[in-house]
Amino acid sequence: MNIVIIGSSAASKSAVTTLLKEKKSDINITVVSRDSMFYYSRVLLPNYIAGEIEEERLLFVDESFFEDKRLNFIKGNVTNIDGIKKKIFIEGYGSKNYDKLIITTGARPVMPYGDNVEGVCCLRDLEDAVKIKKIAQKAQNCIVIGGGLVSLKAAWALNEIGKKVTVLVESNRVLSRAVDFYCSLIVTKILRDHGINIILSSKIKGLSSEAGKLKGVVLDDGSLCPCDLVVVGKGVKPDVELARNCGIKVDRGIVVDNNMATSLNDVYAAGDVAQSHSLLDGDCELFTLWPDAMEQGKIAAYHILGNPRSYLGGISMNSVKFYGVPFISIGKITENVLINCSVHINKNDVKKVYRKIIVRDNKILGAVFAGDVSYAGMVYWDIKSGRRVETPQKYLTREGLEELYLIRNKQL
Amino acid sequence: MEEERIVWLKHSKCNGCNLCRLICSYSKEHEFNLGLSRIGLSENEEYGFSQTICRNCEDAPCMDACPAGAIYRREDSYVILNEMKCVSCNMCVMVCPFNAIGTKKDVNYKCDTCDGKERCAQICYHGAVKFGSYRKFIAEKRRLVLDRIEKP
Repeated sequence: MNIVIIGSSAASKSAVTTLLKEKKSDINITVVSRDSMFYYSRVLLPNYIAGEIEEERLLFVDESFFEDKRLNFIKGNVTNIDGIKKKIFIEGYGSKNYDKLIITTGARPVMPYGDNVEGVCCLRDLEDAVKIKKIAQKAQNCIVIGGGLVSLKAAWALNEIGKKVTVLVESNRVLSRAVDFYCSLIVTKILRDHGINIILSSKIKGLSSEAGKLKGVVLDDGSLCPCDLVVVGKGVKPDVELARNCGIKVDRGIVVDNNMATSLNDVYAAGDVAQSHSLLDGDCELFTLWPDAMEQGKIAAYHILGNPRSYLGGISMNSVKFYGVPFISIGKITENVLINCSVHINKNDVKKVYRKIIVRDNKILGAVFAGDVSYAGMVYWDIKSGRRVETPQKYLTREGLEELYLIRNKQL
Repeated sequence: MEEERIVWLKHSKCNGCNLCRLICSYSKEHEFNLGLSRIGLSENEEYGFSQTICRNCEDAPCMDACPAGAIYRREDSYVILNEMKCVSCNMCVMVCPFNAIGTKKDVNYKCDTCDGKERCAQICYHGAVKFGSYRKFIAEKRRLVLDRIEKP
């Protein structure tokens, strides 16, 4: 069986390993990707910019992974899919037949201010990171636009290599989608304490450039913030162009069923490019999360192997650590979901620990941990399995969580 | 692949002396610090002592969640966290149902059975910390449940 996988990141990796685990010898997998390096971890790019890790360490698979005889790699851009003749067309290579196809093309960054000016970058691919690193060598002032996870990690990385960093956030707080308001305050304080200038509620008009070279960021009141490097972090959108052009049903991402199958026969989609739904309320959501991509890749692979497992839906979850302070949020935690919910908070300023649990209909809807993230995994599984919660207060202290753990794992 | 072996606690023999945790932190971090131990121990009136340590899950969620490729399965089937590759993003902590992964400032850690030397089980002179086959662990668990049914 000829299996072709487009893309080489998380979903692709988990699909490949799941397929190879089966001891079938007639499986032949081809991975087609335009990435300059196959299977590198995008999550680690900020650490790479900060100089913490080398390029080789970006790989998240072992070298032995590439040695399997059933696995082939083609570097190139897929231009079209012929769903009737079961063929894909690769630029500069020709066509390639498939029996099953998995699309894991991921997502592309949104660039609302254009990207054809020198000194304007996003942070998604290795090329972007290399470009940022190169420009940053000569840059003095760096501006990061956006207050999301990628933006703040980029700001952290630039600060680590000794640049003067300003973060312009349009909303009134950072990480507005990832953590709750109180954690936003803590993150802002930590970053400011380490010398990163964060400007909230800033209205950005656009970029100012002269002869293709960046001058600075123009705010709504006409003032110019001069800088040599701008990193734009305004989120990502699924890279659906290829799928849309070949007639695959696309909404915000590629529409898939519970087995990750698309509207085209024998074509699957997984990872950031697929549109998944929330496990908690069934809403359509784009999670763009690493563990979610891994699970979806696995589910597509299991369906191809004739051993289907259903995708139950994703849960939004974020983990981030700034200067040694860990934050974890799981499930629905934004303020707009708080209807018929009870919110339980334990804030200990002395121990610098913050825990928050949101409960609806005796089930946990969301949880936020800061400072001490132990037992976060147990709470994640409680949310995922929809466990009934009798005493939410127990989730708020370490002792309570220990007790809950004891009850779950009776004695052993 | 060898038979799966894990560290587990025979709760009826444990008196909570924390020796296993101390030797753990000493052999791994060269200091006697309960906070750096790979083993957690908690107490409850009803259930007695209980350990939190890696259960070596078959479909280990931490392995899938790690974006650095730092968590892998060793030849003896034990799940290992490679501290050289870890960037301490805490994704594994977020999905581990057993709270088996601890965090330091810029690296995470978990039990690696001391490369098969299982110092915690060696040192426990109460015979409470065991290192052995997964099947025995399950058998012990069954026996405990039975005990409780017989003695209401």
